[in-house]
Amino acid sequence: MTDSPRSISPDTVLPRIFKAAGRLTAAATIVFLCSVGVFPFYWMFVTSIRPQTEIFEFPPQILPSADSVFEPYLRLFDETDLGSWLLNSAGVSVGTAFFACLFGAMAAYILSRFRFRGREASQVVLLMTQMFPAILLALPMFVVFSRLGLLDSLFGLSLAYLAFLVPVAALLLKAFFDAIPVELEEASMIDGASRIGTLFRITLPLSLPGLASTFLFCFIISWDEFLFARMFIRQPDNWTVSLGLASFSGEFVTPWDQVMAAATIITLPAAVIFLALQRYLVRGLTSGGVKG
Amino acid sequence: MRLVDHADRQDRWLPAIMLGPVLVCILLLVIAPLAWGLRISLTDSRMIGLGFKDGLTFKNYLSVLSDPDTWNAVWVTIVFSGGTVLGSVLLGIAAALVLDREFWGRGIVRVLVILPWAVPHVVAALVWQWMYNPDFGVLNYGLLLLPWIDATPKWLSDPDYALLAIVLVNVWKTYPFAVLLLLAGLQTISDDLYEASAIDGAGPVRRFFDITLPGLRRVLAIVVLLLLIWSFGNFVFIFLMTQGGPAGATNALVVHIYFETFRFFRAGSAFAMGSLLLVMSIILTSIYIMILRSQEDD
Amino acid sequence: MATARLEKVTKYYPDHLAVDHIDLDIAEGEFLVLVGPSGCGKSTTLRMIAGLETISEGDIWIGDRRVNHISPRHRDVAMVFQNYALYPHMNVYMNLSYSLRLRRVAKAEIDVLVHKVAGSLHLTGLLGRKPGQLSGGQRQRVALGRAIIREPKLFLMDEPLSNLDAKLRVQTRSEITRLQRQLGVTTVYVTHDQSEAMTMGSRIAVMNNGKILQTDVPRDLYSNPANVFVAQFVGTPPMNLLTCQMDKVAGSPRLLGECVNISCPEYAAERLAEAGERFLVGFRPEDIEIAGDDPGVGFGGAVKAVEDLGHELLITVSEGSTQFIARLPPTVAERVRLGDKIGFTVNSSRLRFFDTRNEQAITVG
Repeated sequence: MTDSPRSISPDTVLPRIFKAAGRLTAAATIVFLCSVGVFPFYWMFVTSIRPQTEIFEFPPQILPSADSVFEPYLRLFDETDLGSWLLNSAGVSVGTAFFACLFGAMAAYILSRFRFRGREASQVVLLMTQMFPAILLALPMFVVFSRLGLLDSLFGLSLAYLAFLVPVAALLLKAFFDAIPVELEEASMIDGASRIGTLFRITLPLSLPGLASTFLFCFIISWDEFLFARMFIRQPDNWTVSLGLASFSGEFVTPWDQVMAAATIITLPAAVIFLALQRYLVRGLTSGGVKG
Repeated sequence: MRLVDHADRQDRWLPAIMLGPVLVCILLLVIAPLAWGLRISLTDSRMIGLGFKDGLTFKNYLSVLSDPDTWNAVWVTIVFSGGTVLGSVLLGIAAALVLDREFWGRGIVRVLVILPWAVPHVVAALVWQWMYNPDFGVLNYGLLLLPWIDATPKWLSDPDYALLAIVLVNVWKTYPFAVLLLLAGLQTISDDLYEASAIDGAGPVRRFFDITLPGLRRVLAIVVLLLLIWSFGNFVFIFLMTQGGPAGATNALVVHIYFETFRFFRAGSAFAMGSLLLVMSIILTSIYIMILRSQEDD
Repeated sequence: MATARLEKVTKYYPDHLAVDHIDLDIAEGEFLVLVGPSGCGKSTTLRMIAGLETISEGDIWIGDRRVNHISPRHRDVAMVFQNYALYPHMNVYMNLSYSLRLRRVAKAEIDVLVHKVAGSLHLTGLLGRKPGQLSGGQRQRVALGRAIIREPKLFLMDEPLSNLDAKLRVQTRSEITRLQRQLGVTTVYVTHDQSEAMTMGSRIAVMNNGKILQTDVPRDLYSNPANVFVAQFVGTPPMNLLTCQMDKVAGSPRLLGECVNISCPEYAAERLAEAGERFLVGFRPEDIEIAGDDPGVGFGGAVKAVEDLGHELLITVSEGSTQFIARLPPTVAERVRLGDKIGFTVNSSRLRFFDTRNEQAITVG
């Protein structure tokens, strides 16, 4: 028997099989991960548009019902205070994000540009503050706030949020300022600008993307927050979206179509912002943390 | 990098003014509450809001440490955090390895995989609660479709399954974070190493253990610590889905502390347990910071 | 236009001394180059003149004003940075006019000045572009333009050419010197490249370890280095330095050592005898030529390497642990072979001497 050039030796077959198997495994993993990631969202939405009569059926229909309705969404606004929860949350989130960015940027600029004793230490302190379980701050703050009459007010809640948002904003923004060459500011000061003038003419315009990202990040953290809200807020008038949504779950028969409709509405802004920011968040949360 | 050291008069007062708000914030909203809480844990007060007239006592610590509920809570916290880390890291590595390959539609897949990270905690809790529903839940329906399963658990109301169910939700929510970090870590491993190793005759499995894993060591350490720290403090899932039950099966420290305060009004012992949690967090955080620091030296 | 004066200027950081009591007098319209290896303190010195670093000790004067505590913006200096530091969010026009706008110069006047400067630097067509859309050379010209547009008292340049490729760097050297001469603005220029220093500076200050070792016009720096460091830092290849000692042979003093066997010039003998038993004799590679018949006398050894650069030959000659380099015309190429013994004669007036202990030049005659 002669060796024809076409003959396939085991040496070339085995790697090919491995490669094909590898691809198949990879494809299966991708499908699995995507389904795991997407299905709960899909289920949330499908439930929200299902007629009430079909919700408590077993086995459940996996596909959207033929009689899909958007009526739960309308009922939400009529029968619940979803509108005011959204407004409350938006107010708290915008307010805290704004002040977190303002105070955070001020500190970040100094930490990024000045050399002083305790600079390293203050960065570590900033990092530590975002590592404590929130309940450790929430409990004592609850005691203090109750004495100051700050409980059950959105202002008090925002103040509490600033406790952990300002340090986070400072760390994220410091990473951004660090990326702007000092020489630009030096050139500006030699060209005749004061430090404050340089800050407004050079540094801030160049860090706009960073400021925007940090603002949005703080926004969704406030939007998502539950523990502080649960402890500090009592009156339904002052509920944020988290509280409003959670209030459904205690009821004897949960109106799942409404819950899922509300959940869908609440998820949308957070999810959009989160996905837009994901790359930057990873950077900020790790290396940006204490890099000097 | 050169740092500013100008002969400018503004530079003398500027740092103090600019750092002021953050310092006030940390002092009043972080350090003061922590100190206050520590102080309360050393008093005899049962109700929140009473003063410190009673003097110092370690009573709370003694009673907390001798209470089996505390140790149950510590155990639940450890299982919950450990399970979360284990699940997230394993799933995270698998996903990162797959997403690191070039393939058509990778951008979209990436977004879909990361999606759970983007959902608000309360929403995740409710959606999963609905899917876990023992009578109408889609999860049990799916399980019954499998040929070898003919009985399904009652998930959140079953003491044997409740903690597992909550760990699964937490893994679902946090593993995308592990994926993002690990993907970034994979990108720092030079292709030359893989090529060199392939030329030396290493197969894909060898390459994973000899090159990929060592290259990811530091990122993995960061992921593990951050997830541990975050899981320690996770309140929403347990509070909304099981309220610590059934029969204390999911009663993690955070939830336990919350109920001590608001259900049983035992502020002193709540803060004593808080101090335990604080110590655990400080240890983990210190390790985390040390790892970040050592990264800079490379 | 102004003079500038540094008196005992010192900069120390918590962990080290960066600039060590330097004195420098910069005349009006002068192009002074600060040159030295990296970390020698030259940039720190420049930044102290600019006001970007505080002065630990000593005084800096610009004109007749002591500027120690004057902020950068009030010193009326312009600076060109190594990475150009162009404002990335502003186009070329806005970059050039930035300092004028800060000084609230009238719009019409700004426009005239910008176009004048842009014209002289061939930037007119690029005024609308952002720095990110410019080539390295164009960015460099914008950086120059931003400095010259407001006619400051002092130009400060911190390695402005080091980010350009070799060919463009040589072109830009002459461009900068031309501009400086035309404008007549006093300039302090920092570089680590001694050939840049030699071609551009009207005077050069060589720095090392935070000290100024010698300040001189290029020619004197080259031919009369004040110490071993300058002798070896300036010139490529550097000055040859050979260890030798003085001996009386048949009544007349001779300098002997590895590679060295020359008669000691009479005018130097007395000073060298005082300087100690051993010292260094130095000469430039081009100051020697191949000896005729008597290779035993002069500088000599075995040919160890030959580099043929086309227009010249660089020959490394060694004996024992000592070696030196000779720069010869290409015409002698056939006469030099690897391993051959070879000898050189030198015009004794070209010889320089250095003390082995403090490495300072020994002045003779």
